[in-house]
Amino acid sequence: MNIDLILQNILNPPILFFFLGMLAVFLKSDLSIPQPLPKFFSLYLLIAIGLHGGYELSKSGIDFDVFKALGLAILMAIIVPIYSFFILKTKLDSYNSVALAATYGSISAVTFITGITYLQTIGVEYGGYMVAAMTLMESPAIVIGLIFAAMLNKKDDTKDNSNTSLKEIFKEAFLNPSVFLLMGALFIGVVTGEKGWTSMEPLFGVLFKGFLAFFLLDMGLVAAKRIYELKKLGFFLIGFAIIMPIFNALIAMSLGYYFELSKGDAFLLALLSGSASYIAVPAAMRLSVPEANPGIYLPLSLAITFPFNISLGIPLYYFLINHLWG
Amino acid sequence: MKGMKKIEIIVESIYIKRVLDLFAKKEITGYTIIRDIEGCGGHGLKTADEVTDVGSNSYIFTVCEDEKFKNMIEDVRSFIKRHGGKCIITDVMLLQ
Repeated sequence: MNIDLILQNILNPPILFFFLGMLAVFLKSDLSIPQPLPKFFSLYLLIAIGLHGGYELSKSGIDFDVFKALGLAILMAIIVPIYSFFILKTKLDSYNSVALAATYGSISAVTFITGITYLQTIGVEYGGYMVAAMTLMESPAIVIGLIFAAMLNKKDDTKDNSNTSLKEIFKEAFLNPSVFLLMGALFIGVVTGEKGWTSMEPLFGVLFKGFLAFFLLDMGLVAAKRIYELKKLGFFLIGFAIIMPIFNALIAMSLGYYFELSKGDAFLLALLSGSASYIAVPAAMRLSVPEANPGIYLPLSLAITFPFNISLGIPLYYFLINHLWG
Repeated sequence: MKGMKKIEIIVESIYIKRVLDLFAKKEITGYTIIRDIEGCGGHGLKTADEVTDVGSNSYIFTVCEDEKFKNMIEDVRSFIKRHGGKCIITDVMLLQ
């Protein structure tokens, strides 16, 4: 892989702020971002990406290419948690397998945002509808995870099944804060179009990179604190957290190539498929599968997969796509 | 002065609503919550500075008469057993 591709990605202020956050923990600095600012940054980014994606979608309209990209996104969001569960089941108990499969079956919005920033840096076009693809990829893994959890609880008569009722599954999958806000912002972006985006751009466009840098600084602090927990997890899980994203991205690339997606869209689909959730799914799994240990799925997603994707994954996936598409 | 039980519960913030539902079911109407507290336990470090409530704990305490305490304690025990967390019970005197 070309070292320039890696440098173009890493030498980006938001990414460097992520590593600065990690460095602060390793050097035992007292740097911290007080609550509830990290939540505010997260809400800001979700609104910004949803609004902008909605505006782009209102510009491009909906045609066959859009349907193709959205269909592939949903397909990946369904198959990844299913095969991940069966792979994990060979080494882990059922509950932890469900939670981890759902975590890796869903997506990370910030990884996606970082990928978009990378595409903009190297001047590669992508469709605004990929934000809609990202939104659609959030929920299927939660639904599948909760269905698996319901099946496990049914097997065990001592378990209370109230957390995995249909109503609860729907609520967790579509009304959890990040999915709800993203879908709402996307809808507002579509409805208000260019006029709406122009009026919101000073806050949600111009300042976007600065807020992303702030958020990634916090993520760096959080990820580094979680690294110490990885010692307990063993080689299989740590390997899974790196190999699985690459494997998922390769499957998405193959599908993108076969269905003739553009380079930028295929890259974003691969990146989304290779990312793991650390906001929506952990919260949903904690409520619905309390038997699963968050000390496993949260550090893997936050301290391994997320840093891997935003530093090496992004240039690696782009390199492979560039090679395939020619 | 009146002899009562003080029940202190530390759970992940995401479960607060469920603990409060349990309280309501057992007619515990008064309680105090301290949100986003840090700590370390069986589920690893809770730094309370993350975007998700999974990474932070909350502290809830209530005082109640012996009768109410006996009526609710088994439910609290099974809740803690399934969801994790800690429950500390103390005999206290309430100034009235």
